[in-house]
Amino acid sequence: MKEERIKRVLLIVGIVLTVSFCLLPFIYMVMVSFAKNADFLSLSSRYVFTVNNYKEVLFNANLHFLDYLKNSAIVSVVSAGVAVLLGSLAAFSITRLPLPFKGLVLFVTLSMSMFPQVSLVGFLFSFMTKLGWINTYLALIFPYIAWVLPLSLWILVSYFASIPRDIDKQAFIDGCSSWQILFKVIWPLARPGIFSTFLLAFIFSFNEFMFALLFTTDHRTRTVPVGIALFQGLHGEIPWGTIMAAATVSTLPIIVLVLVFQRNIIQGLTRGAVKG
Amino acid sequence: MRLSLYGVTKKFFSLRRIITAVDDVTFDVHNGEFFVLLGPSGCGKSTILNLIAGLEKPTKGEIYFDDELVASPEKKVFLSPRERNVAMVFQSYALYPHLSVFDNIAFPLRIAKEKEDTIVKAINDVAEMLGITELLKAKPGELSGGQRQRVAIARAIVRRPRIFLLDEPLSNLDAQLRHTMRTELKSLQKEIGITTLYVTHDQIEAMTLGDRIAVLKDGKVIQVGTPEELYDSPLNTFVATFIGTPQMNLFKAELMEEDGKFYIIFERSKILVPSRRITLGTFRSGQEIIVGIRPEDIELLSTSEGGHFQGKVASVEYLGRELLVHFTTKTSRFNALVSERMVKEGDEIVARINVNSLHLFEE
Amino acid sequence: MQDDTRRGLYNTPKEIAEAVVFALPAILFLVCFLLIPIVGTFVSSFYRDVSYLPREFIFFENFRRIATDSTYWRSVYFTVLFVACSVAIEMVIGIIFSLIMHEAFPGRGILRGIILVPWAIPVAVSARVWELIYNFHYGLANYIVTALGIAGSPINWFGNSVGAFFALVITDVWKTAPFVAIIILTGLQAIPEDLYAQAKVDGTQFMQRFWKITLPLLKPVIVVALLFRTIDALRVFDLVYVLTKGGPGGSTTSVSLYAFKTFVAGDFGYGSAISVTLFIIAWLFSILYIKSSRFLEEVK
Repeated sequence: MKEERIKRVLLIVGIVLTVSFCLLPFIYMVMVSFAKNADFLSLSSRYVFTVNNYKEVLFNANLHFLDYLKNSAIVSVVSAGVAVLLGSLAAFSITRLPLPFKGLVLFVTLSMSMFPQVSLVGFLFSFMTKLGWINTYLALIFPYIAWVLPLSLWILVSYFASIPRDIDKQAFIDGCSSWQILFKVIWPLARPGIFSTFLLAFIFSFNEFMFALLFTTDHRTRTVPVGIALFQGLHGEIPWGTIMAAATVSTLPIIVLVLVFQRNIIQGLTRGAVKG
Repeated sequence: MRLSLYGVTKKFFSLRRIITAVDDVTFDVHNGEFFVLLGPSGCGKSTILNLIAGLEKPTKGEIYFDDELVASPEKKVFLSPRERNVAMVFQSYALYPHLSVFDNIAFPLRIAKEKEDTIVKAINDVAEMLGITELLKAKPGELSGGQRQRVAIARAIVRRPRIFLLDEPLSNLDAQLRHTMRTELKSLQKEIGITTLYVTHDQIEAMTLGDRIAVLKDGKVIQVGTPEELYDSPLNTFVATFIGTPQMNLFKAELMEEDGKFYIIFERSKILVPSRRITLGTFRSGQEIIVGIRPEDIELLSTSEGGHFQGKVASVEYLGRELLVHFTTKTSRFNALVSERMVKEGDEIVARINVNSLHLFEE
Repeated sequence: MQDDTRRGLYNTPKEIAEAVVFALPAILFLVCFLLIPIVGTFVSSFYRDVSYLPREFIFFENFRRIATDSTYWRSVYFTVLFVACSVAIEMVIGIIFSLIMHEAFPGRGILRGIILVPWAIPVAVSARVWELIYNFHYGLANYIVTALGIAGSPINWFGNSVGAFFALVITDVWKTAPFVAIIILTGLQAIPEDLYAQAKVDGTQFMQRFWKITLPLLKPVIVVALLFRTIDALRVFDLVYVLTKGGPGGSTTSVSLYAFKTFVAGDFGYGSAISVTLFIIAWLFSILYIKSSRFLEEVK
């Protein structure tokens, strides 16, 4: 059929364009990271392969890139872990227990996830200064937990609500307390959902920029996004090769996560953003 | 264990209205009895089960397990399912999908912190009793409907509960399997002797399983009795039509007293009603009443013979050994169950009814 | 235990207390780090609060200052223009992407993964990559533009406000169109295949089916994605901070960035007032969003 053939050609063209649209910047990033000169696209230059940029990024202690990576990892894992734990307790209360004003709680929580960060950052900065938390992990972890909690709560509520009521009635009859129902029955059953939520919470914490920009002052707590954003050359010219190597190293784990767990992430995202 | 409900009422409050799901329900279940709650969907039978289990709290009334009060809002008593020691089987079986069959059955015992070797022994016994020893390592997802059913029952009886609650446990099975499970369930219950409360909307299931049955409608108990009592002496037209297939025929007639005897007048026929059928109600002469007659109590004769009233055959259904004949009279439609295959569509017939099986109801 | 759809008559104080205990840690975090800061920002917006002077209550003075602050209005102008352009383009590209992802072909899972990559990595990091892409002398963008003959000579992206604006829009579209696609894909998957079969039987063409069936049925989910993206784009910060730093000449300073710079300059009162205006707009959109996404139905 003619229509089918046109559709197939369109589809193939569409796939090729989509993939290049999404990946071209990354391919370019990786190419620059392995290039001696970042200007290899200009007529007067040509591509020379080198791994010096990676050596620089990974072994030059003055760049502190590995510190940034470590800080990011610690802050995001802890924030995402705590957010998922607290989120699942609250989601359990909302879906299974007689929590008063649960509709209001959900509504307020959801509207909180739409807050512009800039309307929090001024107050939080003076708050953190008073607590003496500036340039500590706590200054990032605490706001991050709150920042990713609304989304986590919403995704978990949606997962928990989809577990049949009979199962926890049965567990209740079998003699479980509420805690036992949550940890012995709901958690194991919602494992894919909890994992999706953790992944998203991790990505959101890992990507956060404004808080990290203001609440950290040096390599002891600075995270990857801020580290790379503030990466400037010492002598005028921007060291593109090094920056791209750093960007490659720090985005690689995320890219792998996304490719491997795309199904979980998409499921979590759509449960968090749209219903029905 | 003896179960008693006194004036139990359950109301649900939603934003717009109040729903009375259970309305002033009172009944007793004897020790070791197989008791069935029967009613159409939405009649409150599952809510009653949940109230007994401790999953819901009554709005009014009292529930006793033997002499122990387990729920009473007036006296501020409410025991949790754990404290009541009840077991329940849900329509969906509610097996924990992440646990093996063994762990599913062990679950209530482990929550109760039983010793592991007692658990293993108890499970082996119950698995043997139900013929699921082979399945202990499997996950619920790998089982057939009938097997899941058995596992759910095993999990319920392994804890030696005081009462066994079943909420439409057979309705997810196919007809063949439902039939076998019914027989098995009945003999199993007699064997272990635990008081059992069974909820269903299927009257055949209720009639074959129950020692006694409570028929429910709109949250109220309409009639409690043995299957025979319900079949032979339904209290009203609801019970009469709900129990028995094919359904009982109902028609309007006038009651007439003559020389101390009662007759019903239907389409110019005058049918004598045996006196024992009359004492059931408080009927007067000249009253409009509803008369019920079961299809098997109608005999069809050819027009040359004498019967009670005339009709014409509208259609005939072959049910194998018997025929279900639909026929119409001047004002009504009737079903008759006959064994002779001598009528066909369009035939003019005369119907004779077994007057000893007449049921009279007030309008 | 209670059924959520129907409320039983009474729950004992003990049960309610237990429910509160479960929800409390999360609520505490939200209150301490989201709710109190917002209230604090509102309060600050009524004060003169600069580092070198004592804090002083000045009522609406900060907002009066906003009304006549041309830098503020320029940031509003940029933000609105940015939201309009990037969200509109994202919706179109997002719908196209979702249509492609909805087709059955080998490697569809991988494509879905690939499409998530731009969205998943930190904006601050990808903005650095795009900064190099837009490099006047040897960036990828000018290489493509000149090679394809779209422009005769290399574009000075960050040299003028138009170039900088489009650099930001393109980057934002690249990052978020995939996200839009994912949301819309769920809407596509909810359309029964039977409808298309029926329409084919009725003799419709491919494009007719798109306009007459797909698009109308996608409308609710498109509205949700549109509102969500609008709220997100209104808050734009990371991207401009890293890519253009608000330049050239402040032409790409978003409201977020302007408030942020005001905070950093030490004027907390005025910065709070600016961010309050942004908060109110974003919040109004989020009410619309929550309403249209039918979130709360899940619990009621």
